[in-house]
Amino acid sequence: MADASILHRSITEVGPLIRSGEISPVELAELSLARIGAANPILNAFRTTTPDRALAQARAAAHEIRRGNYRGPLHGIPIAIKDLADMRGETTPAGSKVLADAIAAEDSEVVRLLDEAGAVIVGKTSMPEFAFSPGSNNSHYGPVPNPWDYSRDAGGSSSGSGAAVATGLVLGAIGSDTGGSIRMPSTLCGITGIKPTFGRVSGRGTATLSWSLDHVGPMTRSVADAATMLKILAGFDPGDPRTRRVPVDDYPAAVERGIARLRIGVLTDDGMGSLGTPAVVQGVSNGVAALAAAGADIVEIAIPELADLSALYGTIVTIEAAAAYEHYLRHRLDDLDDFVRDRMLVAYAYSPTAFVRVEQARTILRSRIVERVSGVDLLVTPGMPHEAPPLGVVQSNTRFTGPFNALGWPAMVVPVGLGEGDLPVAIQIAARPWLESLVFRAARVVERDGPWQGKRPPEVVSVTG
Amino acid sequence: MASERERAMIERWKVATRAAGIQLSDEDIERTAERGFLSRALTVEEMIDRIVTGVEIPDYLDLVTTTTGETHHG
Repeated sequence: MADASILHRSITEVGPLIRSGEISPVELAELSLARIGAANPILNAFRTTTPDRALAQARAAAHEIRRGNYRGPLHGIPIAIKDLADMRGETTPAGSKVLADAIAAEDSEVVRLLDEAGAVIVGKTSMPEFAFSPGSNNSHYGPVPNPWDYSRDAGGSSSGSGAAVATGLVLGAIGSDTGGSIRMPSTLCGITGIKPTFGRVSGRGTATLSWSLDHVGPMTRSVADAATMLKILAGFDPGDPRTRRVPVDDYPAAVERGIARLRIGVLTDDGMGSLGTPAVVQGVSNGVAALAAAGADIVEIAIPELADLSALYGTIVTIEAAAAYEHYLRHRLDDLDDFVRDRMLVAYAYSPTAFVRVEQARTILRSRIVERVSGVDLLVTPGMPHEAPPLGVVQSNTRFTGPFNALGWPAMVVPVGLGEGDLPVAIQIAARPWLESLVFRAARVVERDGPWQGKRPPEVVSVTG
Repeated sequence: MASERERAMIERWKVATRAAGIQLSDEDIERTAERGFLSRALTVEEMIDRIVTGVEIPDYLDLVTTTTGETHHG
């Protein structure tokens, strides 16, 4: 009989135990659901759990595995879904009141793929309204405390997914990222998270925030787990015109390939001054030292255009979000979260030609940045410039994350230390489009040789509970 | 004290929200502006003025090549 400490282990560790029959998927699902039930009054990480579906999936997985039909590394693994992805028969409020009652007729593509892989979906995680905040603030459902210090914020917008993975309520989770919403909660909660290339993972059946900036991706406790999940999620979907017919690498096989002789650019200037708090700067430096020791060629690189791109991304998301939710601005204005409503309303302050000119500026900045990084294979920046802000206060800074949404490039965060108040800080590793394998290889080196070494937040509930 | 550019933007904002059918009073808009939500819009409009200069529209209609390799001026 396993205890809940099994939920602190990685997918790559637990998968073989499920396959060999040492752990039953049913037992694992029950442990996960019980732990969520005990932790949620403190963490508010889940908007709802889905025990009927989870236990049915777990029983089916147990049955199939006993008969020798093991589907792969996610078979029988408890996974959480950000509450903007449709699950058939469940509501998808996406953090809002206005969408609270609509029941999804179909699974989103990411849920369908996880289901096909045999994953056990235990529930849907908390988020700010429409995912439109870098924090966990949500006036309808409440904020999500940071697992390392409950007076601090878990970050947004995949707030519940970050807290749930960090505290071992599940082994992995789905997040979405429009300006850093996978990478910021991953940074602040001390886990790994990757925003893949734009169009790498289908967004079909996930609530839109910004049509040209939204990305869906995994949040996990190890780089190998992220690679395992992305391998299953990635690929062309005829139902989402943003996806591409680009071959999907074998990410799990790439993870341990090393980075010898790769050229890695370390950001020294993004046009916005100091790169972060002392702990952020030290953490990134430690991560870079691990990359250098593993044989990478490190070069310093200044990209002052990132400051302009960061501001531009904010405008694009504002205008695209207003376009997506204009119906509710017209008809349910008072039912929207004040912060989210005001951010969307600003879209109407721009001149009628602004959006076209913003897109022109985006193209110009993209070409300048491509030129700046033409001599390197990977780019390293801080994940965020600071540690977790106070709970529910919108202070998280997207300066390092937002530009990669505007560029569409893959970017991953890996924890590299504890800063002020023993709160996590992270390094971000980015590459040009479709090169997620390179990102995983470098991220794994930082994870293996860097200073983090599997740190965990204090136990939120008894591991046997 | 709002700048001339900010005042002009606020006035445009009031008109555009009304035109979009959004029921928002002028006072609500003024309050939102006071909370700092307009500052990015001002910054970005100035920025795009600075970045988007001398953009040439490509002549998409200049040359057409057929499947047989013939080139025609459009």
